[in-house]
Amino acid sequence: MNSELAGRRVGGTGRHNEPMKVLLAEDEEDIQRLATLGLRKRKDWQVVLAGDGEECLVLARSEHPDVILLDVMMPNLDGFATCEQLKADAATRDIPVIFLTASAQEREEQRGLAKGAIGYLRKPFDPLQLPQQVLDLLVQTGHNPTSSE
Amino acid sequence: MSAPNPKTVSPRAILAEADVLRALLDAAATPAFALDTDQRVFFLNRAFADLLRLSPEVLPGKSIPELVDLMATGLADPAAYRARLEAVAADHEKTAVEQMDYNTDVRLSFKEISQPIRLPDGGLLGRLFLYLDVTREKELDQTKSEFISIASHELRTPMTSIKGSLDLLLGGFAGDVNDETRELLVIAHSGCERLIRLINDILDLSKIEAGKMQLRLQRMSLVDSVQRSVRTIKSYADSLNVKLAVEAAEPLPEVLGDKDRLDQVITNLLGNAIKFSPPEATVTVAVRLVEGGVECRVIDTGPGIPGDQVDRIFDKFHQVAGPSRKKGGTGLGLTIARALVVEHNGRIWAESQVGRGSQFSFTIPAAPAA
Repeated sequence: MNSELAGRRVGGTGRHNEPMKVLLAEDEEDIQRLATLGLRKRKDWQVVLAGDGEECLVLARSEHPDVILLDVMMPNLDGFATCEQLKADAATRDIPVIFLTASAQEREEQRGLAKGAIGYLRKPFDPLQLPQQVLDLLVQTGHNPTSSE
Repeated sequence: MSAPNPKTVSPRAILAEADVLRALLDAAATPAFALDTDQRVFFLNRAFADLLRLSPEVLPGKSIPELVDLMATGLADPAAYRARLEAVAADHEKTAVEQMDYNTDVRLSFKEISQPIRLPDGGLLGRLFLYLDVTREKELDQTKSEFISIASHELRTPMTSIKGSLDLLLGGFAGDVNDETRELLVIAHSGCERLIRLINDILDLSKIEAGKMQLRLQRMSLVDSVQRSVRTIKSYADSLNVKLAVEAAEPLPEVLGDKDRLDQVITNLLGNAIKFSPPEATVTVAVRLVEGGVECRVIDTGPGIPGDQVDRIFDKFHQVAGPSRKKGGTGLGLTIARALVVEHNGRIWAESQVGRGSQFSFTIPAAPAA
């Protein structure tokens, strides 16, 4: 665990029918916190944190998130390899994956999308805009978000 | 022995001169060979034989297929190289420049320059091929691209922390902020945005310079691109109290373009025009049909650019001296805009009058009829 928050569920009061559960795989603690603060602006969103790709694979299976936000450059297993393994596993292949990364080049985006991700968001990102960007991508790709407020 | 007639040259002198030339070419480090008009090797220097690791005597008289067979182990695609040599050898007029990689123990990169050899009386002797070793330049380019890519990534990560924190503070996440605090946060935030633009621009420019800018070409409307760019930049124009007008009267043909990249060009030109316009001014984008394509002009009524600087305005990091330097650009926007237009086989230029304003224009070729 790279963070005191890693693997812990943060927030999520479940005020609506089903809270949206976001698994965020990110090795930088500052960015984990900023993204979590932004995502939790939606009161019924839960954020589960993974500090690297391997942890992300474990938590994807145990936590059944609604969406996975995936950094690319992470220790142990990078985001591209993590996405590949998520898509190869019947238990996780249907979970939409969105890259959230400082790897900003177009060929990297193409590579990420080729691994089966539904979106590619570049850092820096505005934490307050992040939940809406996630929802927009889910809607655009025909994934029905479990909550929208 | 009689004295030699000064108007005739003895065969011995010719042979001596040929030996001198051969020695000079052998001493050169640049591999070279020449084909005669029957497309057979009639000359090569030692550097070429050394590159192929063959004795120089083996090669004269060899045809192109025989030569390529001898080189096959070093070539990634011998058939393609053979086809190119045959095509180039058949051209008796033009100089040709091509890239060629050749593997010995290491991978070498060459710039192949070939040109017809003509005698003083105009008769064709054949074609000379020179191989300039550009391995080191390619390695340096690669290193530069990798460095910029890594630097971009490493700069982006702390920028995410700084900008993200400022976004949250300005968004009222940590409670209300008083006006003075807000002003300082806005200054820090706009500095962050400028740094991010600079990082993005440097990354774009590095890709363009490395020839790795891949356009995703499709049939598209340049007017749609203008409308999207106007929507993108409207809030910026509003913040400076500058109005935007679009003029596109006649039906226009589609162009073959990369939507994102043409939007980037237009947004950049609009951004500059807005930035340098006085309050209440109007920036006009006019799209019209011109011969062979569609032209887009961005017209402002700003301070204009002095005549001696108009041509240099597209150069890297060139910003017009004076107050404009304080306008917060990266100095790379127009360089990138020009490169993107050129990648589209288009043309971009600026016209300006000090005190009257500037007009930046570019053309994109029309898409072939569907």
